[in-house]
Amino acid sequence: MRRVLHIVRKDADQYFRNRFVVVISVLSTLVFALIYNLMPSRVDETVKLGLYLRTEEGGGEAAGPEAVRLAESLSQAGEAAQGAEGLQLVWAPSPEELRALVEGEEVSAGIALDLSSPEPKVDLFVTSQAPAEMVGAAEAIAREMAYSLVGYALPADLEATVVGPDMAGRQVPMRDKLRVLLLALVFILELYGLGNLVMDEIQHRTAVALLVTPVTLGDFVAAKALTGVAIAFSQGLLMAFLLGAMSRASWAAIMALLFMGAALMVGVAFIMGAASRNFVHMAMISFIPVMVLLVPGLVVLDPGFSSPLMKAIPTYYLVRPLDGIINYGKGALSYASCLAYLALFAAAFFLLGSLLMKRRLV
Amino acid sequence: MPREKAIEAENIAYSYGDTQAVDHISFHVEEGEILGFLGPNGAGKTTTLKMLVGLLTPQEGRISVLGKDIVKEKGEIQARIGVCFEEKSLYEEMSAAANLKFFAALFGVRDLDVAALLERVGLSDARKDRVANYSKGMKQRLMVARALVGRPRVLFLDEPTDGLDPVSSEAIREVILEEKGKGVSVFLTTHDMMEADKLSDRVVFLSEGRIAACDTPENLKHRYGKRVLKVRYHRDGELAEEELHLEDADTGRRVQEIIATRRVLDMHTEEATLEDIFILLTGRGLA
Repeated sequence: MRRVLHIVRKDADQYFRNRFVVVISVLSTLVFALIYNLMPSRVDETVKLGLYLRTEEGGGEAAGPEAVRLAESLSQAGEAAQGAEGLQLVWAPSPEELRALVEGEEVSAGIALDLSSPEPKVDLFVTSQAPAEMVGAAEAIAREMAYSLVGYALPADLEATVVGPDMAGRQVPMRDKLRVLLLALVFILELYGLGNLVMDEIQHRTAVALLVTPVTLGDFVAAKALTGVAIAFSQGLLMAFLLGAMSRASWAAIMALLFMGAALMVGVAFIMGAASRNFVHMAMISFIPVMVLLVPGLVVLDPGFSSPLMKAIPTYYLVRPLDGIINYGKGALSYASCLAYLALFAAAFFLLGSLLMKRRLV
Repeated sequence: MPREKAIEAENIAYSYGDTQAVDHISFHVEEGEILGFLGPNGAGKTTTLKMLVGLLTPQEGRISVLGKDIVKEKGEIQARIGVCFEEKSLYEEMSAAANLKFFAALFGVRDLDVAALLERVGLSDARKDRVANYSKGMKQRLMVARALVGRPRVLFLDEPTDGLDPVSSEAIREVILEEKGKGVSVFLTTHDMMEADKLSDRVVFLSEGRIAACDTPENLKHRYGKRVLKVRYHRDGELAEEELHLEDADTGRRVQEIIATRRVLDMHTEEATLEDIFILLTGRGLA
């Protein structure tokens, strides 16, 4: 253990002597914190509501006197609200076009009222990202409109049709969603520092020089893992503090996730470092894998990109629980399986990286 | 009384795929002895050295260093040896002193006199400079100094003076001889026959993974070399040169005749070099 600690101390010293890596680490931390703080902390509160109304058999818009009055008053309210925060109305000529407006996210919700038959029909379409409050408000408007037009409450419960994946949750400002991506980015940038540390030892043959002293290969790998986890974890933790991602309720879960994330990155860095000839080579061969590792972080910003394939990306199991815990206040227990997968991926990468290193060293 | 064996290799072999790098060789190094391991590039010197220091496991045969088996007791052996590779393997962003202190810590040596060690290799003035700014010779001297931080009983030196300036080479040779004086055994691989001749108590000729000869340089020269006397003199206004074999019966008479009848310019004996003998035994040069 004494030898491992000596190597860790030397590695930390060496890591911070690399001006490029230090500048990138410090700059990225500052820039990420700046981006977060410059972004608006409130969401856009203007709600666009799509409407379709049919009162007579044979189609067409509101034709009855009540319907015409309602339509006119809604239109006036919509025009008055134009350009200001609040409610904006968008009329659709058909239910299909209303649905298309919702799918295209031109409106947050759409209400289709069909009063042409003895049993009035009301369809409510919502976007995948519409918060629960929005859905509730749209339901209330639909009921009120139907009551005004037919003179009695709708006989059945109104069911909202969710268009796209149901995000059913609170509306989170973009900058808060961005925190998860920034944390992932910090880890990804650390990959290069750690990979460089491993690559340097192999390329300059200093690793071999160590292995003919009392230092064993196990000591060497353990030292690199310790250094890597310590650097990546502390960088992630610092970033989490700067981004306001740590709370009294979630700090333990976040720290556990950051630790696992750091371990995952060390495994990946081992592979990158062992497979590279120099820093440029490492940057080139790791470009595509690193981009792939970033994808789950991007999906947090826009869940529309989500795909089942995402589950094959190791960082998915880091980003998803981070998003749930930081942005939606969920408990760590609900992500137990993610933590298990993360541990498995970290162990697999670590093992593969260690084997590659051994192969390069002797 | 025979000295203890610091290194003993018995019938060791190692191949990379179909290429037999080391082909069942046996040799030993006694305590306080310098064994020169001579051979051209690709002869198997570095592979042998890697097996001796525990970086490679012999595929066949057995190696013991300081009486311990390299496979079973690698850790104990590595705590008592010093290794200097041909390729520079230093922490270039650190100073010479920091490099030595770091390696001393790994060996558990707390009382290392870094300044004195750097003085021995002529680097005391540059001890605080970044190693990246060192010349090739300075780096090599630091590599040798690093091999000494653990106060080794056996030194393994792989081409320690290859491509160095005469000053650096001489500094390294002095250190090697000083260590030998302290009873340290030295395994020295080189393709510089002059260096091997100057430093080695015995030499091993390695060619294509096999040992072609193993003896003291003197014995090898005596056995395989031919001692000659070269005489240059003026004859009819022109420079002439004559080579006389010292073992020939009429050499003495011929020398007297030349001195009596010619104006002798110079006269000196010449011995076969280790390289001559290597070529004689293996059919190829050392380069």
